Amino acid sequence: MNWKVLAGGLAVLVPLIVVLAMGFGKDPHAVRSPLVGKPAPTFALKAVDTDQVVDPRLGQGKPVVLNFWATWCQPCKTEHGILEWAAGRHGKDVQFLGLVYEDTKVRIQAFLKQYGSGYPTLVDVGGKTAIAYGVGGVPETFFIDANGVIREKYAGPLSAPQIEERVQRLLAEKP
Amino acid sequence: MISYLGRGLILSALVLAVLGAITAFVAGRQRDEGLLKASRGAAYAFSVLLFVANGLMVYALLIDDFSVSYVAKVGSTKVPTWVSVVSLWSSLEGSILFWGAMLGVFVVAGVFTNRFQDLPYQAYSIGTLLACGVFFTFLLAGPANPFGLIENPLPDGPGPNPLLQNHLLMIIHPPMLYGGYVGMTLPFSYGVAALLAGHLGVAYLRPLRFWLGVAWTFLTVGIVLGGWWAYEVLGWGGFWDWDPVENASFFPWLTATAALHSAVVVERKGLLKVWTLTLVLISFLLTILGTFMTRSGVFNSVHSFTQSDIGPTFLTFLGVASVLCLILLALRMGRIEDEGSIRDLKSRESAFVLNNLLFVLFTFVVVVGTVFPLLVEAIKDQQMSVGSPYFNQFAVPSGIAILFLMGIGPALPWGRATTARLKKELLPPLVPAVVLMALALGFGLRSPSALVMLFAAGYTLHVTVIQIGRPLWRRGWRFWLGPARRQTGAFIVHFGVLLIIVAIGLYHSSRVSTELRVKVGESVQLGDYSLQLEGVETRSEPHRRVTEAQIVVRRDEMVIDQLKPAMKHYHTQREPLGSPAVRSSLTHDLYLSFMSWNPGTQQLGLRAYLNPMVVWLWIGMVLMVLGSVLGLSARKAKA
Amino acid sequence: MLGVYLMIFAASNAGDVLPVSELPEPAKIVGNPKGSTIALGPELEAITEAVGSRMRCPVCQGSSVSASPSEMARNMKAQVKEMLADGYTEEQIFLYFEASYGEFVRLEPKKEGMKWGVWLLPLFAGIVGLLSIVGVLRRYLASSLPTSDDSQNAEMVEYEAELLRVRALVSGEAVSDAG
Repeated sequence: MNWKVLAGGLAVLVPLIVVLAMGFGKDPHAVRSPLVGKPAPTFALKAVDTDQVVDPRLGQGKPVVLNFWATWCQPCKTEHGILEWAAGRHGKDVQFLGLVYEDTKVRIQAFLKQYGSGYPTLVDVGGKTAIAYGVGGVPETFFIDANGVIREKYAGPLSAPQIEERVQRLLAEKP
Repeated sequence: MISYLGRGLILSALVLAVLGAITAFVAGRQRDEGLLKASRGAAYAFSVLLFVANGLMVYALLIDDFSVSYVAKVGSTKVPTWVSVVSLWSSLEGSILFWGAMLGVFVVAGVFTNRFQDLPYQAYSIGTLLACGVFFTFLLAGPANPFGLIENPLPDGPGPNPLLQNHLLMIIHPPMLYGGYVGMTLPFSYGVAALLAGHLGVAYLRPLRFWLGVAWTFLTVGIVLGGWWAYEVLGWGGFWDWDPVENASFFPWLTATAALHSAVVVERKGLLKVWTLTLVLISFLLTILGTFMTRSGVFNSVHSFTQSDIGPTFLTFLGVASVLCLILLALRMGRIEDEGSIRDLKSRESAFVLNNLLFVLFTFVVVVGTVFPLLVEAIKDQQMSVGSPYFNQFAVPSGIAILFLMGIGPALPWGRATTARLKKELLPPLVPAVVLMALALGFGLRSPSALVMLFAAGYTLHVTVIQIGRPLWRRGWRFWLGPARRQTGAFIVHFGVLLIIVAIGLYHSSRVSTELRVKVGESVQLGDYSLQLEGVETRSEPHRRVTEAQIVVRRDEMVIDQLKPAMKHYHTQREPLGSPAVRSSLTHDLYLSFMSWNPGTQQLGLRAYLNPMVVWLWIGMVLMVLGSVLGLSARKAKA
Repeated sequence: MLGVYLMIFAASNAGDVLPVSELPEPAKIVGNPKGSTIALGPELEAITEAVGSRMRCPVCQGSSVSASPSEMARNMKAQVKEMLADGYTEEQIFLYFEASYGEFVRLEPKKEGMKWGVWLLPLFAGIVGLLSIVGVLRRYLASSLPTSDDSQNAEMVEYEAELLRVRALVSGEAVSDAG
């Protein structure tokens, strides 16, 4: 037995396997965003239906649920209904906002006509706001507290209980 | 019905593999001829079961039996027959099943051609093959079961991934790559057998080298076709991006290339035996690592939500197999002794040693670059990327060094040579080297790395042509294709590699890319070409919407071509797929990629590339395959 | 303003143009531009291309912003171009994108902290590799002196090959097919 070779080989192999194995543990939805814990980037965009400029009033006493989506995204369709439901429940205390990126106005309007629009939908022209929020695909949802600080970023479609849990957390923190 | 039958086949194959593997190892240990025969039978039967299981799945896909889980996942009544057949490898479970069929082919071929070898060597290799078979049939039986039963099947399915239907290359690229991956199992089994037998002579080396060459050829084709597919479909004008999935196929190719070269030294000099075996084992393990990387989801981008279950199984297999290999090596390396020596540093054998160092180092760089982000994430919980800017910094010098060594190595004689002989071999190639570099300078090439690369290319070109041609003009074509066939083949492969490296170098140093905007009816100029937009049309097909531009290409006022770059929105796909239009010529490609279309202003946005030399990549691949097949078909070792 | 122009430009394929009131402002995050402004033209295009080739496209597998045809990548590239035109340096631009995407966007790892590893490991391996082949060659060279010589070795190889041929003849099978 050549112990030197064995020891040397194991010294390379074991860390490699361990590192690869650690890759399994991660939840692909819980995206680490450097923005969590930081003030949310400000923006003011036009609403798709009214053409009014909407300022989300980040950090002015009301928590914000900011959802990035697009009409061409399949999971967004299901999620949209759930967000509608949540906005109906908590609309008074929490500002829900939809931000559409990489899409055309015509298609957004058709989508909203079909699936309903209980909260403002803004158009992110040129994707600048998406970049400022570090969006890497849709749907993605940001939970911003009453002080305008991003508390969480969630990638992928949210279920009703998931939204409920997070909204409750935002409301509980309210001063 | 089909579900039960398929599952039965897989489970029987699993049981057979377990029993056969144990029998084979016992046969090797006790030198028992009867047990060897039994294990051989088990190996054949195992393969047949997998063939039948594959046939059954194809049948289920053809008759659209949606009670079979895999058919429900990828099948559709609306797709043409050929799509149904190729859906076999369009998704995870099916591709593993298909993998099993490939393994069956290699097992049958390897076991059959090896049946007159020494008993232990034969038995141990069958045992190793069936042990790998155990793993794959286990995957098929559990984590990646394609024959799941769906109680209340839907009347129709979603059809396979649109990428598969988008281009012909996507259909032949995966089987080629699998051929390379699975093919590596055979040389691996021979390597393990040689280690267990404690001996590596010519008789053992020969099948090992042959099957290593076969797997290497498949890998080569698979990798290049993958690049070709990327070039034709992805629309960014490139063919290789150092993506983890691409790198995964590159690892075993690099180490297998090193092993093919060190095997020559084993054959000629009796040196580097353990080293060659180590490389063969590593090549196999890297194919498993590669499959793990492409299939587990660990390396995918943040937004791929599909985590598959086979990752842990694969990693367990990788871990167990690599530790076993390591122990085997540590145990047996003392027994396999080198028999020769190197008499001079200025010899071909030392060039081979240097070649091995280069290939192994380069493999190391690619592995480190690919895996390092995972390491940082595991330790510091921080996401980082390692991409092409990093890899290119290492690939350029490595590529040039390998290219240069391809010239110097073969110019050096075996053993020891007189100074006069060395001068005669080493000096003349400097002429084409300097000429090629000067020519490029004259044409306005200023990139220092590209110029150095061309110098090396000129040198190697001279040596390669001499190596291919010398046997021909000295002793005629009968000798050329007869006793010298292996050498001829090997240097035709070198010639192909030379073309590919030069093409890549020139592509990177002198390609042109711009964004163009053109309105319907108007023209834009790009290099010598004038591009006129005739119109843009959008048509709806059942599964996609295609927006296609018609562009008339003129040069010197003459219409030379019509190109139709398009954008395809598949209903099931998030991002639209581009369908670039390419006009190839021997010097460069005109490559147009559809970017945007504004019906209001009638303006088309295009990304246009003038990509030099790209055709030579594909020509180089064809030469590599031709040379390799020629070399592998040689009856005897080089005269 | 160039910025607005670029934005309209990026949206032009959407078929409608919406003016924008207030947008995230890079200066708030990375301070005022430290470089000099660059006019629209081939130079700006070339620098944008170069910076983009070192920036990762977040929606792609692993390709760069320059390489990817996806809309996300094009938006990012438009932003890079705009920032370059406004006089931000490459480092500032990366810092801006890092603020929202993390170091993930850098395709070329920074040379700092643990990330030195990815740069130094290959060098380290290169040195170890060189030393070991020097060792191997030396050993092979030394062993060439008294004990075994080449002719003997060649005989061994020849013998084994002969053995194989005989075996093949006896069995009536061309074993060499596999060679």
